[in-house]
Amino acid sequence: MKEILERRYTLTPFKKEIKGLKDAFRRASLRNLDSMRKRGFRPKNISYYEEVILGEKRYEELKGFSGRIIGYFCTFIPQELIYAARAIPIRLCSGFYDTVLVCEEILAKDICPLVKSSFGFKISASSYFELCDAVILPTPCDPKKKLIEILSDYLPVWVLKIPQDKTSSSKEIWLEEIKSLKERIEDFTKTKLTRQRLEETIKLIHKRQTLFRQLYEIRRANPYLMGGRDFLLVIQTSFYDDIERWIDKTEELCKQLSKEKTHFKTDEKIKILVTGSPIIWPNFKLLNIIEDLGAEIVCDDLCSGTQSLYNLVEPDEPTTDVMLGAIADGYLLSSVCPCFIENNDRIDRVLNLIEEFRVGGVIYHSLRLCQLYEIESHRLRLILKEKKIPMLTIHTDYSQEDTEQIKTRVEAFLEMLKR
Amino acid sequence: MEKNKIRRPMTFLRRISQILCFILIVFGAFLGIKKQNLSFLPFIEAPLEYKEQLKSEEKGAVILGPAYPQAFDTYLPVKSCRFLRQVGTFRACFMHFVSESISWLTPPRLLFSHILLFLILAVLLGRFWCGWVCPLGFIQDILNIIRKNFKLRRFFFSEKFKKTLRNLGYLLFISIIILSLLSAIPKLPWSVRKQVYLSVCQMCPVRFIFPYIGNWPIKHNFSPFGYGIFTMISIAFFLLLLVSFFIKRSWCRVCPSGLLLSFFNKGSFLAKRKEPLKCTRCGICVGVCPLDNKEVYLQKKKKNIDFASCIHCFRCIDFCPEKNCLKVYFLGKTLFRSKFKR
Repeated sequence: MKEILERRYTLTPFKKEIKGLKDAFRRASLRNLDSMRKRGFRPKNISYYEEVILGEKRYEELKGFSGRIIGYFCTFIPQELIYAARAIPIRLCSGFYDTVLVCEEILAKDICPLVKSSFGFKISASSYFELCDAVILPTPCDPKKKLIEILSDYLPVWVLKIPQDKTSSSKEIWLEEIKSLKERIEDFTKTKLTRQRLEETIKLIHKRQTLFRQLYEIRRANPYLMGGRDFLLVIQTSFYDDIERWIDKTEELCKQLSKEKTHFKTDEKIKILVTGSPIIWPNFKLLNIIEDLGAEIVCDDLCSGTQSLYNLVEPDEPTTDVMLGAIADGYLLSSVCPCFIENNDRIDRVLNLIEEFRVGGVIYHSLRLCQLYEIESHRLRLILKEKKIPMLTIHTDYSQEDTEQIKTRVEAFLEMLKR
Repeated sequence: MEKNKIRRPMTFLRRISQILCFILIVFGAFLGIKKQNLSFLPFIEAPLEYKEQLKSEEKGAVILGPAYPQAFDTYLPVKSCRFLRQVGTFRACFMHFVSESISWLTPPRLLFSHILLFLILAVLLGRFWCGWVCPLGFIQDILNIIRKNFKLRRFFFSEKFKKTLRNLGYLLFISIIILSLLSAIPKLPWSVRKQVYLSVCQMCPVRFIFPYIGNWPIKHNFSPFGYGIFTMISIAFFLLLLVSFFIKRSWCRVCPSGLLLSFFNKGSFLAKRKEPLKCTRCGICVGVCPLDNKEVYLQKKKKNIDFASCIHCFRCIDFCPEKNCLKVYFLGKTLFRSKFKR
């Protein structure tokens, strides 16, 4: 197998232990949870997800896990392959502010906060990142591309090169990438990804995705049943949680909500669609502001939200090649990541969500230094202007400094929508 | 999850239709259906069996060619595939009729009702026949299902080769017309015309299937010249059909009968529609399409997604995970729509 990284200069990894990170994470999480608990109606077993997102219990559980743990970034990584090797995938994208500061000691300030925050965890040797035996990184944007190089000093890093578009030639390249990733995982975990195993895991993940869609449909029928933040919380716990337990709990949640249906029809609030750069726990600043001001986040097309569980891998038949092809298609084609040259799919997705959820306004979360999303907001704004749908762009990062500023802007926007 | 629920309703219905049609087409006579009794217009007298005519021609008589007393002779019931004379009920192939009527220069007034029937069916249903009725399509589907159960690899034609096969289909269609016209030159003696007579059947891959499963004793009954070149071609086509074990519906990409019907696909009343906004471009429809067409996947501007190489199997609609994204219309009414499956 050809190695992508030559690693001519191997540096001793920079590490720095920082005390109190765990507590800081807990504090940030609890701040969000407190704000979320103000909501009148919340489903009963949401407390399970709260516990998972706090991470302490799950961390201990993973520490005791004898198999391999493989970290990944973005929505492009086929978790089927990882599960098929009896390893556990953990999504390492992070929204924690304190680790950004840690990272800024060695990296420049003008780098995307998501990368800095995630890498900060590695420097400070804490959280899930420390448990990972290997990391899979796609190449959607420049910061992630260079993160590959930097991380290669710390632990084995596998690269998944994302093509520039979704044409058939790109699809072939992408399929080759998936196949080589499969070989790498086989090599690393010393388990063969047989046809049966792939079939099983595809079914398992398919079950999770359909269950998520069920929840999504319940919320579409009545968005007030479950807050937007709670919805995102449920999604984001799936990045860390044991998949089978998550499925069980979410099945329970769906049952609970479908019983509840009738009571919440008259509750009218302003419906908001959140789109743009990923919003990851515990960086729920913008969401907290929106929902605390009385609006309802009914849908999103965030890659850390709906998009991470929405897409299905649907192989026509259980043969290895067709399954791998379906995996490749499932993760590439329906992605709405702005890393593609032409991203009409995202615009279509947003327009469809606006139509389906009868959205009042769009709030575009533009993470500072996330250029791709920032550039894309321009076209989306013009298209929405044509359709007479108001949109508000919020430039922000992980720090809490600008909370009040954003609050006034969002307040004014909501005020405008009310009229 | 319920276990007895039919996950793919359209495919389920289609398989039933295919099995029934296959039995009717190939072994219909055994089911107690007598071909003669199916006559819709029994008062029109049947002409001489043209076999007898051919015999009389050798004695010097003039051959009149087969007459077409009934509209349903051409396409639907009554007339069976010539390789299934004794046992079949009807045929799903139209090319035989085209070739034969040209060969005998049948006057248009006799053909009027047949062409009208064909047009009505084609405009109503388009290539519906390929997916739901055609026995060759069914055989190919069965071959593919066998491969699926053995978990062998599925192969694909390259886009270029698919185009080549489609062009080959056009070539075949045109050459069949030309050969039929050749066989119609009036001054030529029958012994010469015989060589290219019914070239469509002589080249048909069915020559190596139906006589063996339905037409005992096995009779190919063709011209000696045909046994040369045409047999070679038909063997090649038969092999192409066998390729469908690895590549879904390989013969359908060449089939001249399907080509003829495909001209009506775009305007037919059986139509597929897509909500461009609802489509997430997930590509599932490409993966499940037996002819791996990309048109449904690519179309994001218009609602109309009818195109020539679609065989109306509606698998894309069965598999589409987006609610109400794909729909089947018939005469303006929604027959079926894509659903989100639990």
